[in-house]
Amino acid sequence: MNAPVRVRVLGLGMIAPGALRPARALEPPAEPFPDWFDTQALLPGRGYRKLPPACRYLLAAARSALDDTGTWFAGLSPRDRAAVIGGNNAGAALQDDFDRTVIATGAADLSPARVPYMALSMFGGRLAPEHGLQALVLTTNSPAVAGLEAVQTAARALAAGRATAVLAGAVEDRPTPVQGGGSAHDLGAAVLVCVQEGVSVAGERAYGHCSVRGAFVGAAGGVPETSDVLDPLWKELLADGRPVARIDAVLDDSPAGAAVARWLTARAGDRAVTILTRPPGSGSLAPLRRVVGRMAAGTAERAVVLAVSAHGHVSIADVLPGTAGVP
Amino acid sequence: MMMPDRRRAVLTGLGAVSCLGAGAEAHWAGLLAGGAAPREVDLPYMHMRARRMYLTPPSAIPADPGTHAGIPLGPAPRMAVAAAREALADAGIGRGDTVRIPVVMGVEMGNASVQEEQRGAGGTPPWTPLAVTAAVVAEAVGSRAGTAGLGNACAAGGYALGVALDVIRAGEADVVLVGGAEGITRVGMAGFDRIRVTDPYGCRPFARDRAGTVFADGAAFAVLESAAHAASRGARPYAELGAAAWSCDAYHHPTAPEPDAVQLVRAMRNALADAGVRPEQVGCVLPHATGTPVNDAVESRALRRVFGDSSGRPPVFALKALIGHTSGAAGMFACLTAALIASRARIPANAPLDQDPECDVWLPQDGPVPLNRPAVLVNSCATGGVNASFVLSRVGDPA
Repeated sequence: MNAPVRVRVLGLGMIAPGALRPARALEPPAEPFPDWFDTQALLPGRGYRKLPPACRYLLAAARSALDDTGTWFAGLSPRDRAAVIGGNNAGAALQDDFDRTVIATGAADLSPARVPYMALSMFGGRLAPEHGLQALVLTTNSPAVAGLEAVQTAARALAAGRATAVLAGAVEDRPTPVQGGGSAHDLGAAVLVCVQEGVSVAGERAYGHCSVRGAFVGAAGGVPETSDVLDPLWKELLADGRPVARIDAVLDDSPAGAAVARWLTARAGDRAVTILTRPPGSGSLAPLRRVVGRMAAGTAERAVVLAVSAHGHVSIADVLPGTAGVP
Repeated sequence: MMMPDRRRAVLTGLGAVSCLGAGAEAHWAGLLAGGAAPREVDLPYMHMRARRMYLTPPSAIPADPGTHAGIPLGPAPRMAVAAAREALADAGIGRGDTVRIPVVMGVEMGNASVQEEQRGAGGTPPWTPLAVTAAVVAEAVGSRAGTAGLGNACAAGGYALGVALDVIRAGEADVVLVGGAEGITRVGMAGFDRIRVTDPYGCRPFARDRAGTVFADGAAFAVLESAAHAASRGARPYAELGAAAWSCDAYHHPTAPEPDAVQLVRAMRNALADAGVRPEQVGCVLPHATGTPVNDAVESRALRRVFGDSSGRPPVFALKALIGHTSGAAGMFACLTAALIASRARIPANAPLDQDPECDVWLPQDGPVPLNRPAVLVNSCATGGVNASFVLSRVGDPA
């Protein structure tokens, strides 16, 4: 097994109720309030009004992240620009509305402008014409971990030479109330502008480095087996020996979540541990939001961000803020 | 065509469930027999113009697993499990050897049928992630490695294959279980019906009277393995995956391809270059070819730019005319078919059609033709202008 592929993070964007800047990403998620997303201010220009709300969140987060990098990205060839975006629920309400319309009156009453957004991949896909992304646009969709999975997939794509810069992010909206799941942790979008580790861009600041590894612990969450799976992963991910100061875990109360929580308790030691517990069915934004927050915090403290799905997915991110992050 | 071992990957196991039945052999036999025909979808509230799909026979859809993490599972994840198990068995990989094998899947609508069933019954749909399928497969086969769910619309399967190749080339795993699976979704059919890209009669790629695509359900899986690992355990590959290249049109219209196909041509050329294959070494092309008027014309022009107008251009096999468009699984069905073509050195006949002169590609229709050159090029594209092209090559003697 090779060492995890790292990305170097050059820009950050964060759009969520009460957290319109990366520096606020670690604050407790807020319920959306009227006009929290001011389209005119956050997404000036034409052609956005009819887009689904989550698509606007993602476009605004990407614009913010790219503004954060200065002029460098705009100087790249479109063939070198890419995006990998994670999501679970961004289109859930639209699908629910569409299906109820078909049942009630038929397909002729669907909005043709919104039809493409039945596919979750169109939320990230809308970034391509917006920013001239011709290298690749890819959507990751594993429950709960899709945001971290996007960073991992972006890192592999960069290592494979598929792009020079990748917007790696997550976008979520809550499902309709009748669908139950979801929480305020998972409304909005976060975007990281990533290049391959070791790539320096003159005159631009770097927030640090990040790498992600994934595993599958199963839905039943057997505790000894969880250790068997996660202990080697932890060792591989943090093999360089630099101390981990903080652990942020985004869990739910499923058997898989409970098993990982118990494993984490044994792992925590004297590290600062923050556990965010959400209902199963929440989306993939919360873990990436923690990565953005740790990157933006301005410290050099190594942090681990961990996410678990009720279905058995686990992703662990190694977050190395600061320019001294990698030996 | 040889490249360094660390970059080489081979397909050592295949599995499928589709309108042609259960199993990769049923798929191949069905293609040689002329494929399937679409049928009316037997669901309530099909209030739309085009209501037919290429449907998997109920007898080929397993009943298990019925749930995962407390969530009911529709036919798509269940078919995925069957196809994944078949691919592993075909590769000679037993359950005890699956712990370190990641699962990579192209799935867009996935488990949506569960929600639709309950909405149609007037109940409250349970929350279910659409992309639960990779987890269901990982659980069923005993994987404890990472999974990846990819939803690049109708190109998701093609991208899954590329991600699986990246995993192997990055040294993260020696073996990856990669697949695609989709089921019937009322809302998916209705949406495409609303924008008039579905054909009420059948999927007729490159035909003069084509009127849109016709969807299908099913699951296709492959075991992708580093060439060195396959050799070390004596596995017999179907084909080598030489490359999987990606591009994006970045075109302003979400459901129309870039008219000049510059980015699709770039994906094809990059795939050939990365695989070390010259256009004249390509013996067959599996195009994306959905049967929609614009897409087929644009793709035909793109193929002419890559292969030229001469008589040396390769035969094209339009798979969707025989099994329909399996949306997020389509790229993996094309991969499975290309691997069988490469290993058996034989290309099934295309469905009979009155070919559109605007689609100037070579479509042998009179019977199977031999694969006379070693490589097969596959295209997998989707709304949003995402393009994946990959190259499979024959390995040694035909299987």
